[in-house]
Amino acid sequence: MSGISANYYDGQSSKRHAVSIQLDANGMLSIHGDSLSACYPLDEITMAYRIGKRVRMIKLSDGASLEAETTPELDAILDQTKQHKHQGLVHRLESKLKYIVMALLLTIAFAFGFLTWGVPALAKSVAFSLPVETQDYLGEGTMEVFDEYFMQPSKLDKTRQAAIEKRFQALISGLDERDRYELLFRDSEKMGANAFALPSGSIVLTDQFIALAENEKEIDSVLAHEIGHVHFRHSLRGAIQSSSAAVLIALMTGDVASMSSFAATLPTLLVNMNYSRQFETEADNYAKQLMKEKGIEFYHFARILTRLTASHDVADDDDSLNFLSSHPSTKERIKSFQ
Amino acid sequence: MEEENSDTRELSIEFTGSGSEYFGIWIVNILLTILTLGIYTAWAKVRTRKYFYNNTRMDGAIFDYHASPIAILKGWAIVVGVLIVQQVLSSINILYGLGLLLAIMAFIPWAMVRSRVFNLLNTSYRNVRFYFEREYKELYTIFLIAPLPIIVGYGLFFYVAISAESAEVTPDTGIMALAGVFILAGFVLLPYYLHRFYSFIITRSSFGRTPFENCSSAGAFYSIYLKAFGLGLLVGVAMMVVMGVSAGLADVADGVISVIMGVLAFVIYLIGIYYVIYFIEATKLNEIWGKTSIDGNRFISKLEPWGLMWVMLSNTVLIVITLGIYIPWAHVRMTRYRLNHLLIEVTGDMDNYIAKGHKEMGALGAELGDAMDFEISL
Ligand SMILES: [Zn+2]
Repeated sequence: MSGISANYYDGQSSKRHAVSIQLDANGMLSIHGDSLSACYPLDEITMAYRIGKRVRMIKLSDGASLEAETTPELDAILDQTKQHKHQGLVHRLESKLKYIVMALLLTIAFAFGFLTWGVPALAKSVAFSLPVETQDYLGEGTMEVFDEYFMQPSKLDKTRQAAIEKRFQALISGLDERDRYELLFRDSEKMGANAFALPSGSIVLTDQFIALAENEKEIDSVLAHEIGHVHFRHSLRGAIQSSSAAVLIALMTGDVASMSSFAATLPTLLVNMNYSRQFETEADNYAKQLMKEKGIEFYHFARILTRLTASHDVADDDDSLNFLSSHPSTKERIKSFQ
Repeated sequence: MEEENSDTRELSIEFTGSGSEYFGIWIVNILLTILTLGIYTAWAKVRTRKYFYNNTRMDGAIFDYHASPIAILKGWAIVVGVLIVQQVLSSINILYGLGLLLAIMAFIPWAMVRSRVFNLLNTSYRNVRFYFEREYKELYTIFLIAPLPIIVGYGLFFYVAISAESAEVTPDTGIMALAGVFILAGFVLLPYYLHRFYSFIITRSSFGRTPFENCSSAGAFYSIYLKAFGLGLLVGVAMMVVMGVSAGLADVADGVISVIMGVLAFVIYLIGIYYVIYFIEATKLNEIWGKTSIDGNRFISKLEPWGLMWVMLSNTVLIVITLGIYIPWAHVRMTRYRLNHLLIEVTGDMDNYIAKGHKEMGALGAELGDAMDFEISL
């Protein structure tokens, strides 16, 4: 008698029965072995998963099970059960090269789209829905670290500070009431000529930066750019984006905490570089708007940016953001302000 | 079909899966999970497990996984719901969120037990299910008592340090020493609790009605951690020597040599640290499995630190280089490596294990355990 050879286990004990199975003329699944002989209607096959190509595990309604190597004949029999047939679709997707390639391309497209548009949009809505206290808290924390390791109190004389502060107040007058801004002066050999904005709305200017500026309007133009960063909550969004992109990729590829999925999140570093460039453009555009309103000519920004770039021998810009990403764009940015 | 004699033989565990075959399952799982906004994770999990179990072969029979995706989906929905509530509460008041987080943490030992029960109950070999006794007390005891001295020690330390700082006096050295003793005692006791934990996990597991037995000793755990500690010291000393030489050379030779020595010190550090980590993992698993038996059939575990480390590190590098595409091959490689180093010494045949009746159970604990990555794996 020709049949498909399989191992039969009755579900009561681990005893193995070598059997041969076949579909008989009445559409019954008949099982024959040395010490056993049984017949099951096909609808008593309660579970027949279809995963991989090697084996098929077949559960029978009375708790017994069959283990068999996969053959076309076996799959043909099992296809007459509803469950196996349904899974045929998923199994085809999983095992045919063209579907696998399609799934891969679609997944890459989704991941790319999500990282390019989804994560920034998500981070934006989160950043704008977080209470102001969170931002203050984050800003203070950052400032403490900076003061401890990179910066000293400003050595600039008080009248000069007051003059800049006055121009700063003029710059922010009439801006959105919900945003709060604060100007801070610090001395920092380590950071050099630098200006940056914190989530709390604090804008920090270094003494070295003031020294680099040739006139007040140049300082104003950089302040306008930093106000843009605060207005769009860029530092908070940046923090949310870089962490959420990593977490989401880990979630997508499976178990979060395992080392392999952690390794898979490393490429998000590349994505983050791109984000920071988008922020610079956004802040630049905001600065242009504000400078137009307050009557500050664009070329001031172009000139101070040129000098800032030159003062740091590596081409990092005002935020010391990633120099890999900002290096090619710094020239473009300067050009757009000329 | 099979030999049935009463000789003792060593059965190896074979893994027949392949990276390219698993890749198809993996990528389709990801895509369908995205398209269904996460709902498909339940099916994805079952199909993944099933693929790995069905490709694990011992003595001509394979393992099987039976969990119902619907049960997993329900557990998953509850976990997602709880996480959303946690997020909402945290956004109202960070303290509410923390409170709920603490409450969830109180469920961790419960979730670990449930997860183990769920996964073993849904695992079968020769159509006989595995089983895990539902006992929560031991895990709660371990999780509450083991970290206690360390928490008390650090608490005491920070309390004294902060109150001394605000009063502007030097902290009481006696109390500081006491805190140190607490912390040290806590760490010294950890191998003991770790052993108790593994021993609990194994001896409450059974195959059908036949329980697993374990005769590993806390002493062996101490010896492993002591050796690891010694290895760590050795790595430190080697690094110091190289760095010292490099500093000494900086005066006489040009900068290149001292840079090379600096790089060498870093490489020694990296390899050393990873070696210690995988030394602990390999020897610990060898000890636990090597002292485990079922019905007189003994397990033999032959994991090697270098082998484990090589598979792990090369997997990580390849995953990074391929931007994650290598993940399925990495999983298959790791699984194959681990299973190939586990043997079971069997006397007679394996025909006489009797099944225990089982009821289907909810997957909430399992999902909670999974979500927080507290699933126990050996
Ligand atoms: Zn900027």
